[in-house]
Amino acid sequence: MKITKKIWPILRRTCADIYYIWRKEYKMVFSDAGVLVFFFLLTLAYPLLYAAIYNPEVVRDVPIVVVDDNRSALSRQLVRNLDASPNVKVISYCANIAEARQMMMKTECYGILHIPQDFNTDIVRGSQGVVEFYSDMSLLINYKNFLMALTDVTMDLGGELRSAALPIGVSQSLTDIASNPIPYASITMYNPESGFASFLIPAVLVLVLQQSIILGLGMLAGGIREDNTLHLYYDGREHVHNSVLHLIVGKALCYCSLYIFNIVYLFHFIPWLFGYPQLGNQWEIYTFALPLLLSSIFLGMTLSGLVREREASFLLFVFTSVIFIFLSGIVWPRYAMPAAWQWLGALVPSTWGVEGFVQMNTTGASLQQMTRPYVALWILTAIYSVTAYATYRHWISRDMQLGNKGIMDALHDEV
Amino acid sequence: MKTIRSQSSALWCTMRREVYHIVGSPVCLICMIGMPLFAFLFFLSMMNKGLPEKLPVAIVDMDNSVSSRNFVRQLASQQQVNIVSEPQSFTAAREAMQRNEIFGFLVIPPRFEELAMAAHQPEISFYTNNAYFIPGSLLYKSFKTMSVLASGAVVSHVLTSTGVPETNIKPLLQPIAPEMHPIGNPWLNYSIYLNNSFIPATIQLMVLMVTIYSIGIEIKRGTSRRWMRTAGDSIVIAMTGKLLPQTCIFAAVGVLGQSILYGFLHFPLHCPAWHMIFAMILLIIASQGLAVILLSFAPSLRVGFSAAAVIGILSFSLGGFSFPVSSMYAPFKMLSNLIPVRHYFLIYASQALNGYPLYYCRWHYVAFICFAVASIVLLSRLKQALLHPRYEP
Repeated sequence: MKITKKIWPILRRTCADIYYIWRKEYKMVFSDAGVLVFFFLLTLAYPLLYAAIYNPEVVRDVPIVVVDDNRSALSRQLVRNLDASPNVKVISYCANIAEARQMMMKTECYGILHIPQDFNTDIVRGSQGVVEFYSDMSLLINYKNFLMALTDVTMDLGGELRSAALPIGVSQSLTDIASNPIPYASITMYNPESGFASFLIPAVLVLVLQQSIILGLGMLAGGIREDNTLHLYYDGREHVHNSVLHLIVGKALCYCSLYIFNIVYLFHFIPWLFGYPQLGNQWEIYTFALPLLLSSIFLGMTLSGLVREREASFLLFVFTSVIFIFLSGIVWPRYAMPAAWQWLGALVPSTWGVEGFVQMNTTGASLQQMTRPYVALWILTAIYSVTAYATYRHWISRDMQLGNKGIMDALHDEV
Repeated sequence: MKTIRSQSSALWCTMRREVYHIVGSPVCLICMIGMPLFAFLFFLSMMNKGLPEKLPVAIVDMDNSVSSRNFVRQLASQQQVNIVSEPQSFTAAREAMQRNEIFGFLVIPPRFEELAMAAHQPEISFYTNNAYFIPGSLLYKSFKTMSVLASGAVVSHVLTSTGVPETNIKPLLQPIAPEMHPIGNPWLNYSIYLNNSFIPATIQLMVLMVTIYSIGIEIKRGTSRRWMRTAGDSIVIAMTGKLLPQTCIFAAVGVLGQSILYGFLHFPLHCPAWHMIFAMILLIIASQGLAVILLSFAPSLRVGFSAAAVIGILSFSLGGFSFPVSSMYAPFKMLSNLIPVRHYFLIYASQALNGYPLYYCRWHYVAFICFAVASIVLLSRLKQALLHPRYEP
């Protein structure tokens, strides 16, 4: 009974403190257009913009030209089939390689199919008919398209030639068995059309969440430094007892509550709007998002110690987006990176966030299957809350040495 | 004569003022030198293998016969794959994929050997996780190659045993053989492919940010009038004096990056080196021009930064480095022309990668110059903002 009596006032004071900071932070955020842009406009607009850029998802009908030195029925059949395949479009026949190369130089086409003079003769004679393909390599996806189209078309046409060569009276099924005793089936899972947006956007969503927090908190901290208003958070009110812990918890609660909307928008609305794979349990994804949000907030608070003026936030943190998206392993798998980058990546919330969100949202993994990133995010939350605490403690002690007291309090605060 | 001398001394003073600013501001030095150098190190070391090798995969071997085990061994010998587990069922393999332990798996059906011997066409199926684009595509290729080879092995075995001479087997298996010639990058090296565009795009981002910062901060701190006075109240001298030292530093950093790419790592450079150096310097000037244009329209540090950040980051997509611009929607096709690094990328593809005559990328050089010229036209707008600085938080 006695203990309760002792604890009760402390608890009440703690709650009042946190509540005070929380409210104060709302005022700060909503009176700062720059921060609102980061928190809301950036989160709302970036995914839409990115999704619109990549919305075509796949690359079709890449232009090529043909140099047909054979001019046989078979060579024309090959070209027709290639043109009919979804990935490639034959835009012209050229007289020779020089002319075709000219078209490549003008970037009117990205590939040249050369059918040599004795293509048909070779096949009729019973040896291999070779066709040559020259591919521009400025974009690997074009090469991939050419390779797939050419492989499929030549294999199909080859199959037809083979069955035509079989003696009359052999049934189709026997032909199949003879030419393809072990068929294969390829299933591309979770992103059936191998779309660009479906693979990239989920990762971008996580990154947008984290970066908007880091940029916004950086700008807020820069503003506090410029206007010298830090003391308003720890001084000038009787019940605020200089507790740094109350300060960072209050602030974090403010941002968390603001980001509820953003998380629903990013992790549910955008994938739904653009029809990306969305196999996960939405509540489990939100559960996963909690430590992602918290660790990003505390990381943002820690990094905001570097920001001396509002706009320096841009200079310091925009660049990191490029680095963080690569560290997350969505482009280059993490296991294939040098160990140093794997470690650096492990320290960034978005790395685990991307892994968890992509696996849960796109491949339908459960939270339990994503234990590793989930635990990692909680560990990062713990680490960065300590560093955020240290940052603010250091900052406040410096501020107190400068003798900033709650003089402006009456102006800013009517509580 | 006298005016020229006074102008050149004004230019000199402005440049000296700017150099002091840069040297005195750690954040400027970090952005101009530190971050680009970090980006070189980061991108080049990350992709130093060229292709991700030994992709973790699983095999579900439901047959466990001599043939199926042989197949697994052959798959394991491929450079591209690393068999990390052999789960007992499809479900177990799928769950491993959901846990992100593997990027794909291959299922060998029960009675595989028996059915193959009896010519009943047992089907091999493989599953790739295309939520990860590069690993998914690479695995698809490996799995497909192995499956086709397995089929081929059976056919050639049957044909040999029926007395078909060995020289005739290959034409029977594959009557039409395509020969691929990837021009300029026969190794399909991702580092060559990505770094030639991502590194200049990073430089462009930093040029945009630093240019906005160095001009906008004068407006914010209200020092822009002093700056103008140093430059003899000429906006052209003021801008030249401010931006030229930055151009030099960025050009040095950019050319250093190019010498790492083409000199140290021997990435394809099928044109005289100065073509690319020239393109890099023009890229930097064009990016500075773009930043000045942005500031002329919105002479505020924060708005300028926001615009520069959006453009700088979206350039990585709109530049068409991985997803081609020709497949994007029409508005983005047009927008991509307004991005300096897009022109640099096309110059690189035409010059360094393919070694075409300079003539074919003349318009991209013109585009670079257009950015600079357009910024000059708008300078009078910016001058007003500099003479009457007003800070908007």
